[in-house]
Amino acid sequence: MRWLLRLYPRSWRARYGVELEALLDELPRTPSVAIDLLRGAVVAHINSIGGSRHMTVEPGPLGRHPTIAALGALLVTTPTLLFVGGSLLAYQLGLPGMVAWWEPISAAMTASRLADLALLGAPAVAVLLAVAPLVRVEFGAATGEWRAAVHLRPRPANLLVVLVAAALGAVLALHIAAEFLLEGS
Amino acid sequence: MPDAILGSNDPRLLVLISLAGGPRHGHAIMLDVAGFAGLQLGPGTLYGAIGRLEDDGLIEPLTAVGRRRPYRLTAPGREALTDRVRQLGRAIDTGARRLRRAAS
Repeated sequence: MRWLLRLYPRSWRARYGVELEALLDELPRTPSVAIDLLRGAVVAHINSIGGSRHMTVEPGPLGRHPTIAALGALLVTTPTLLFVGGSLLAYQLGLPGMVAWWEPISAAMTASRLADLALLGAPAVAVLLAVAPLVRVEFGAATGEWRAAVHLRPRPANLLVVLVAAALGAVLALHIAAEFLLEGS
Repeated sequence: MPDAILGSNDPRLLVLISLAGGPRHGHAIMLDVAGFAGLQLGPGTLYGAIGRLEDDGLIEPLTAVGRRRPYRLTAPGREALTDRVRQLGRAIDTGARRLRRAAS
């Protein structure tokens, strides 16, 4: 019957889980006890949303593995990194011979509108993925008013990925906007 | 349903009454309530009431003994219970008086 305690909010379990487990060890395993626990879990969730004075939104499993999240974000944004990097080397810096072999790769990467969108959207996804483990939002009632506070945990690896992904997204967005304007003129 | 009408089967009130007799942990509160009110509080109901009372500052936890943590009334909790018992007492006195009058 202890598995029913998993249905309670995490913060509630952290506060009362051990005591309630001890209490359950003393009680018979009857349907009425199970139903009461289920009802209690529903009420605890409702209270955690609006009834209690404090609520914390934690990053969940990602928060325990920020480095994995940073690596995942880097992986997500790698195609955009390659595309922007290759295009800069070939067209902006004009490396000798680079255009010839980069052009087919670039054409393949932007063959469809969907691929374009994926290249542009990947940095945004990467930013969210890298920053999610670092953010904790607290809601609380002080002097009758609800206030929210955002706490950011500084982790250089994640913040570096955020900066890289944001810069890539900005460069690509500017590039697309410039192309669009040039085509229009 | 007189208990429901008077609100005296509110789990929070029952927990406060139980703790008025001294600090108790969850299982002891449950047994005490069963003894004085004849009601079997479920574990989810009991800890829901404990959580709300603690949030409202009416009870407070003491140092845990093993996996069990006793709770005790706070001063505002004692005050709230006193008010509620007085209120219920007035309702019960009125009811008894009127019943006596109706019977005579």
